[in-house]
Amino acid sequence: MSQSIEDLSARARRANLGEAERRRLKLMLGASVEGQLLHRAGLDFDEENAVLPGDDAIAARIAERVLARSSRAPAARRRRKWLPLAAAACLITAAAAGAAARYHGVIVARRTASPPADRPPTPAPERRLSSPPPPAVSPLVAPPAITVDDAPEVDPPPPPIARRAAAPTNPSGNATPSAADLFADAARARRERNVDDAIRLFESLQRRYPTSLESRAADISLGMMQLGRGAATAALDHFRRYLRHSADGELVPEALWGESEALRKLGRAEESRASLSALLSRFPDSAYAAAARAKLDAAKSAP
Amino acid sequence: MLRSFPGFRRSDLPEALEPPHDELAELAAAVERGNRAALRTFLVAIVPHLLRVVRRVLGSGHPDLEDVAQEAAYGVIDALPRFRGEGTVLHFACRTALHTAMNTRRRDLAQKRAWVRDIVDLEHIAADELGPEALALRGSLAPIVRVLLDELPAPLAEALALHTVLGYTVGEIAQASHAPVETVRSRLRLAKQALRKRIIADGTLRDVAGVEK
Repeated sequence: MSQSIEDLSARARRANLGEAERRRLKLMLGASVEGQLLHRAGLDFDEENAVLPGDDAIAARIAERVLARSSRAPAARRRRKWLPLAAAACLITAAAAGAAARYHGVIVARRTASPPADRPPTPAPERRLSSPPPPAVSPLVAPPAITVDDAPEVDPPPPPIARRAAAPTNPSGNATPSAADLFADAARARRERNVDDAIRLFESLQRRYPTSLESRAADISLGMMQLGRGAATAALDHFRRYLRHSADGELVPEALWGESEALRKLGRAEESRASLSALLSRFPDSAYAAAARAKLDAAKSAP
Repeated sequence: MLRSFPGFRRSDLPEALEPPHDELAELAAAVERGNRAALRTFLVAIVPHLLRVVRRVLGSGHPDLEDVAQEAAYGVIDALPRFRGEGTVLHFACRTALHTAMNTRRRDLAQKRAWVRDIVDLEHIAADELGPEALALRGSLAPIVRVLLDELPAPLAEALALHTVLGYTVGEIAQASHAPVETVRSRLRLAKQALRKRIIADGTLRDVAGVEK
């Protein structure tokens, strides 16, 4: 394997160097100003790779727009004439959303995102495809193995999630909302900043389908929303419940980050740091890693 | 599949490029087959990454971040049929985002030059409140590299961006850009020289970066 300064630098940035290689890189950097500058520039870019507040909302909007557009006219994807017009609109929405958006829970919401508002309600036969949450993927950490067998396109057997969270039928014969429907409605309310509605719907979901996967994921959304409202104790309960029930779940990084934030707001600094340490130790490459390290470093250097 | 070209050897690739289990590969295949549920999941998985790549290339203050990230998402979906397993799907997506953002930078620059030529609206030009030098004084070399991405010849800029922004090794850059390893080394060498030259040319930056003339 090549051991050029660039290779060692790149691998150092991935925390993938042995002791001997680290020493070698240090020597090389000491001997090359240009190498030093390039390495430093790389580290500076790594610093900029953190997740920012509002990112999940932006990503959700993008995903929805791409989905909506791809369903209308695949060929139109290549046309970019909409871009200048969209830019102005997005500037406005991004500015409005950026201030209030928190990062994590909407990620969950995206997984079961409902159709865009400009489309009619999804007819029942199609709902089965779009309503159940897609296989859980944390976009903030390396995604897990994903199969799409759960969501076949034509007349599929009910996916496991749908079977578990199947909507009961009320006496009048109308189907009550399924766990996935409730989740999608709650997620939509949250995206539209109707926090009270979103909380009510998520809580309703948890009451009706306490063992569903949607219910577990709702803990993260509820935790983040409670945190945003300043209800740190309630938020902590949600994050810890997620960690208790889904110790190996896809949203554990989000739960640990949220737990740390809630504890910090409650003034329990030591426990907050313990959560960050757990996050770093279990998910050293997650998008939260840089922020967690920075917080821990800041805590160390604080008087 | 790797394209064959003079000077390229599989053994030049670092271990990191040896095909790992690609968790998004199956999903990407389903997207190509037109599976809409798979597309949703795929987008959920990749868009946050695309957004962060675009932000690193354009800078966090760029007004079109969201649009460019969206353009990158379209780019990834469009390009999936051409993906031949060079690295993971996520790497491929991030590279696509990087190129989309770099194209945007160059397009912006051309537009700015046109404004200067025509003196249409000087306020547009003055909209850059802080220049890259001023930003670099805050302690980061990233803004200087961004300027170089605009100024350097495209192959050099690509190598520089793949290394600094995405953290690629020489072998990975060679694979991604279908260039021989030695060519990539040479490109990175020239890019490094340009970076140093840029810093040396500015007395204050020189002090901040601790570079001697």
